[in-house]
Amino acid sequence: MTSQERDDDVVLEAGEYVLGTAAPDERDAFEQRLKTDPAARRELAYWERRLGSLGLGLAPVQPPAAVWDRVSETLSLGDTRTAATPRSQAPAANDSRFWRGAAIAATLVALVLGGILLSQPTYHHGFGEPDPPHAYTSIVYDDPTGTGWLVTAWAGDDEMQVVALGDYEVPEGKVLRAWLKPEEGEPMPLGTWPHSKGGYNMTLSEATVKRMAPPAKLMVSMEDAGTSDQTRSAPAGKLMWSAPILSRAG
Amino acid sequence: MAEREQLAAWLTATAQGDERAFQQLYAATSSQLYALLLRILRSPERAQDALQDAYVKVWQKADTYTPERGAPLTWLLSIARYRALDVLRRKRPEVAMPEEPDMMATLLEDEQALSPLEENENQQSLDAIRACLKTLQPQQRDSVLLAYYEGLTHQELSQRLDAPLGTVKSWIRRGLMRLRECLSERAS
Repeated sequence: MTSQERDDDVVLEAGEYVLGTAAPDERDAFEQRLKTDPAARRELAYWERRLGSLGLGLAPVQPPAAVWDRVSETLSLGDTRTAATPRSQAPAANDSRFWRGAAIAATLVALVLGGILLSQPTYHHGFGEPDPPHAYTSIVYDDPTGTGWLVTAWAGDDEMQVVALGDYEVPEGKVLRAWLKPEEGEPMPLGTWPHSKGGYNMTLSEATVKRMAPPAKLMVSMEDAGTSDQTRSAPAGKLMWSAPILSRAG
Repeated sequence: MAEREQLAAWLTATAQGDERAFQQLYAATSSQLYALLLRILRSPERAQDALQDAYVKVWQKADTYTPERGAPLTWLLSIARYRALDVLRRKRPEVAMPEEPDMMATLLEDEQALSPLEENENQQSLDAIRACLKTLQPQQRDSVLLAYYEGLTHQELSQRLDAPLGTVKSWIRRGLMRLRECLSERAS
């Protein structure tokens, strides 16, 4: 093994250790190596810094105050119970709707960062926990501008949440409109598609809720402003993006 | 005081048993750690348990933090993420926070590790890795991000991405090497 190969070896071992993909025996071996090998410790610190910064891309979510109480109690700290609540109190994190929204926001950055999860199959919970509410998600991503939208619709809800990560420039006199393209049949209008950064709720008709399941697709077209999408059975303007709708546990 | 310095000061004081500083550190950083734990563990209950464990570990290990290990928040995120991996791999031996008695000496040998970080290093660091992730091939990038944000193993990645195990391992390794090269190029 050359010196370069040895260098690459420790880079990869440390990277996989931090990433968490190392197999148990590899992880044990690396932990042993850490005890004697400065290069391994250096690489470990490197990857913790570098990969750790990915966690900075998530929108913060305020934990319930009870967590601090438990920390304080475990460590037998002084009278600091609930004193660690931040100055601006966020909505209760055990409120299911808030948590779902927060999770979506936190997820969005991760998803758009790589635009990766378009191909993500259904997520399966483990550990014997009950399945969370079923959700449909879709990610619309404009490669040239890097603008992303995360779409989530929850089974049983007549609203669809759309989070736009950035602003997308729409020419004057034009408007973006969203469409649901079921497996069979014509596109169904969903309404005006947001082009400014922020979170939006779009009301869904009963008909569209029923046909949301994969392999349906979400389409967005550029239409003339002033024309009602409700009167159309199909986009008349340019099709801008088409993204698969994924079924996943919440 | 800048965020990095403030957090580092609280960490230092925490290492000396200053409960008030620890409390302030928690108030300032727990929402970021909780977001990551929710993302990986997908359950408020498990994320809250892991958050509790992570801060217990922070209290116990605060004395091992040095500025050379990166921004305080990044270090805290690493602790939380190790804890999340523990939860995900409960049947496997614990991923311990590595003991690094000679870390400081080692880092002193490493010019790159000694580079002073900017005030807004968090954003710069995130920007750098995002830019470098864009240079990876899609499968490499997907594998690295799924492993980071969902804590997936090689085997789970293989199933998730519907690709042979060996192929997934190769994507991860090549992705990490490419990331390392790109980040080094940007730092130079």
